[in-house]
Amino acid sequence: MKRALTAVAVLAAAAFALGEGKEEGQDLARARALEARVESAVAKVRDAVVTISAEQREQRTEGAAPKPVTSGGSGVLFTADGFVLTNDHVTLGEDRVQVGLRDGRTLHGEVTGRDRVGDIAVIKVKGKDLPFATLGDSDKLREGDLVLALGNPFGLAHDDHEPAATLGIVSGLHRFQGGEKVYGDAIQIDAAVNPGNSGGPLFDMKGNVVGITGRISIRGTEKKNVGVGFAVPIDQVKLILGDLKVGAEVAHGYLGVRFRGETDGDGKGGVEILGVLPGAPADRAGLKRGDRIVKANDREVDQPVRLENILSVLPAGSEVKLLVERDGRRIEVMARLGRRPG
Amino acid sequence: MRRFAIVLVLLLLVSHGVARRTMHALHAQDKPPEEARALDRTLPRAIERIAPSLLKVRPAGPAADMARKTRSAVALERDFAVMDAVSIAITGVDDLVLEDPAGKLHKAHVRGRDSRLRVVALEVEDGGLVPAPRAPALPEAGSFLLALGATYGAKPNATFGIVSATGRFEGRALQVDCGIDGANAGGAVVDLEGRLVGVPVLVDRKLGDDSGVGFVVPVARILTVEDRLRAGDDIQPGLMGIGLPQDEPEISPSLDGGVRIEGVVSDGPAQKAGLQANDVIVKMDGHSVKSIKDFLSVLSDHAAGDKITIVYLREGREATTTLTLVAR
Amino acid sequence: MKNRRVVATLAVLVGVGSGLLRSGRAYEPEAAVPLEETLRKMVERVAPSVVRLQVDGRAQEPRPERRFFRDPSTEPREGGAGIVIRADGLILTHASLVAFDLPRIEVLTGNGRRLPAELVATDTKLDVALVKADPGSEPLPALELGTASDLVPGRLVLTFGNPFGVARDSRPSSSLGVVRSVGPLDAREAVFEGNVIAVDAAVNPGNEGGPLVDLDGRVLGVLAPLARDRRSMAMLGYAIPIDAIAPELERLGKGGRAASLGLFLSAGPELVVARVIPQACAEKAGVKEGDRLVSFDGTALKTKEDLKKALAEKRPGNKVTLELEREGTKVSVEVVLGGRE
Repeated sequence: MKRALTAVAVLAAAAFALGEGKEEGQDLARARALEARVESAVAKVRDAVVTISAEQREQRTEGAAPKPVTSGGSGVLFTADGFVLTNDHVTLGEDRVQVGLRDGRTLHGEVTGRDRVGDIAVIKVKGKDLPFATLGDSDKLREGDLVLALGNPFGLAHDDHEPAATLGIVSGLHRFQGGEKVYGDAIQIDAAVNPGNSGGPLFDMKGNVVGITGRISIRGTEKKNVGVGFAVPIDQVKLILGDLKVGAEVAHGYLGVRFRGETDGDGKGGVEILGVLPGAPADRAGLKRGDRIVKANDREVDQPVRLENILSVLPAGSEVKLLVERDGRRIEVMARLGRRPG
Repeated sequence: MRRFAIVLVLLLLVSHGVARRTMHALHAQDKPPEEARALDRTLPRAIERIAPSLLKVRPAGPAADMARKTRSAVALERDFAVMDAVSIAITGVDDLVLEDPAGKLHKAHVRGRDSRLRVVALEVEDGGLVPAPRAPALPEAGSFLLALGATYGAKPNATFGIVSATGRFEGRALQVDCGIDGANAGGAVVDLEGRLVGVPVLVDRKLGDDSGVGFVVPVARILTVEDRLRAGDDIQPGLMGIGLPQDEPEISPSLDGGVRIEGVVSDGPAQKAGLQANDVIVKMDGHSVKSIKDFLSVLSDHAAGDKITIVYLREGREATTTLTLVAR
Repeated sequence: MKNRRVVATLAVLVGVGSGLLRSGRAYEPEAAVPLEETLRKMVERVAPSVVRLQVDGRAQEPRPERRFFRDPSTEPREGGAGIVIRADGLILTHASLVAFDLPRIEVLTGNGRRLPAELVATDTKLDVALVKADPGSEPLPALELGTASDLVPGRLVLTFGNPFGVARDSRPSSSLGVVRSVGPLDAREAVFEGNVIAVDAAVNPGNEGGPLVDLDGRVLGVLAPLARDRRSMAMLGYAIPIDAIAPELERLGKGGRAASLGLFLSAGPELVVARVIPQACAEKAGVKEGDRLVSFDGTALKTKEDLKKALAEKRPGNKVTLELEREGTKVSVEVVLGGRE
């Protein structure tokens, strides 16, 4: 009897160990499957990622230590005949830039259009059958999604044109950063975005472009990645892509109202208009001080940043439908956005 | 007899079925398997596998006193380990010990260094190190990595990321996005199975510690110079003494292939070997050279002191010469 | 007959053994849930329980950018984070955010709520604090507490919080990473002396007080301000483990008043000031970060126990003489003891 029990115990232990080993093997297989998804996404997209530099390269001497070039950035081909998407600030305001392809070629590029405020530019290089990336839907992104950013951090791809890939997640959505260039409704990521990544594409796991990385938060004075990067959502870019390709002017719209810029609503719902600039689009549309904007283009406005996100990405000349509360009544106001001054 | 045989078969089947059903019932409580959990369990296992080869390198003395002078090293052979060249400024070169995870101390001496790869070799008298298991091949962009160091305590410290690009610095290093800093430089970068892919090294302060841009020297590159390192060599990048043409946009690697010499440094190896401006190098050390990229890649495989054969074209005619590379 | 019994037993054993081996898992490997899905679901569940804390008396510089259509006098101020651990509004956070004598605290949630809150207690050893918000008739979603006891390097974790105040709508930011190491730090900024959980997920100013969570969304620890570890000279993001905090929550929840100096000491045996609480008694008396405490009302201080004993005999409002060592010179200050512990 005792021997039988011992035998059962030994068999059970063996089965358990084999089971554990089997679990370990299965875990590894699944981890490898995840890894394979990332590897194939990178392999699929990297030929379309380019380096962009706006100045002459210095004479190369053999053996000179490759110095990290901190100017220059990245871009992505999105058509086979040579249209490239990048950040406006990467072009340094130049109309002619050099575009480095992964196959080693360096081509002349001409800027065909810019959105200075939204920090997007389109460049055209001469070519056919060029590798290009598919534009995806930034609308479908959720916090926690895996993303890949490819580009030219610290100019390391300057010589060999080999883009660097970095993996991260969507840390946040609908982030708003104002300033000379406005990042409205921006995607926040924790992938390693560094100087030189600007203008480079942000991909989802299917290999579609969901954003253009262009800005990072930094600590102190060191300009390097700390896990907080921002990308212009591709859906926004798609609104103006046609205009940028043909060189039509793209200007951001503005309403001309003053509202309280704190991080939250004041509890009364909507955003209260504190003042209307005389002659501004809001004035012409009939908006008044004291009005509360509760909806813009059918999107709920419960706090100021919502309104900022919606307005900041609309082009000048477009109409915005506002639902406004005045004296206890709700009225619909159509306002035609003017050109953002400055 | 027959009845007994039937009983036996029944016993076998019933007990088999009962065991299976019970295990199934137990496992049915499990949620569907998740990649997240698989990765969550796989990474610590990978660390366990490399841990015996991950060493603290520090000056001899009580460990507690030396905590701030401790850096990482990885064992490649039983008596041979490497560390990062920048870290040696922290540990110093005298009286070094390698401490393994079990706490055992191994006296270590600095041997050669490789300035191209930014590693320093350490030889251990007692031959008691555990060589790191090696990855069979270089990973590709997107492959998962763990960067491990030994600075903080009994267990390795870890960062996780992917291969960002292969072939940086003319093929000498992988670029990775896992955080590389003083805590893991000189340690081990491993794959999902805990096999050594390479050694993380510190390169340029401007590239930022822990910035998500880090560099890893593949272990194979270090092994090709192991003999020279053990011999105490100071391996430097090798130069020919020539000027390279500035790249012109829209000119692909020339149809003829080869690298045109812009000029030769006076008294340099190239001039001494008879090379002149406008000669086109087509072969170096047996490797076909079609572009500057090829040229630099072959050069990066060599070191100062190496003798290499150059095949070149002058006015359409092929010629051969040999030269000895020099340090800067 | 005996032979048959042996054979029969063997048959059963073989049957059981092979059954165990063949049982396998209930599902096939190919059906593994993608990482993105696990993360999406987890972030969705955790985010509503991570709040933003804005504290008066810790006024930040208003951000310099001015926009044409904004009211510059009301620029948003950056804040740290907090973890809702009970539906009635009990929030766990980092002591550096709220440890003042009379802080005015507001809790902002990602769905637009702004709730008044008050400080319940701070713990100078754990470096954490409890804050109680008033959620009114709408309870707040709370996070479950987990355990950090089986954490090892390489385990997947997420950080949540408000780095650089980038979320104008107070929706928290999240970042994925792994445990770097578990152990004590060697950093002047670190106050908690036990084993901390250092991570490579993004941790930045604004994350402190936020949670470190596991894949199930359970709290593993409270994130602290970044600290430069002197062993590697690297800036480390880390969390104070929940296992050290949880047993103290009941005691902390009761609040209390005891005499305090209004400062935090560095982890380790020495009595070096890591942080002075802004506008509290130590700062008012001129105590600075880096000062070493030498004596308290004439009694020499050799260990932290000495200081604890000396304070235990005093009451808030008492005046004491502190002798300090600052960059080699001795400095004497008079402190009017505060009280909030």
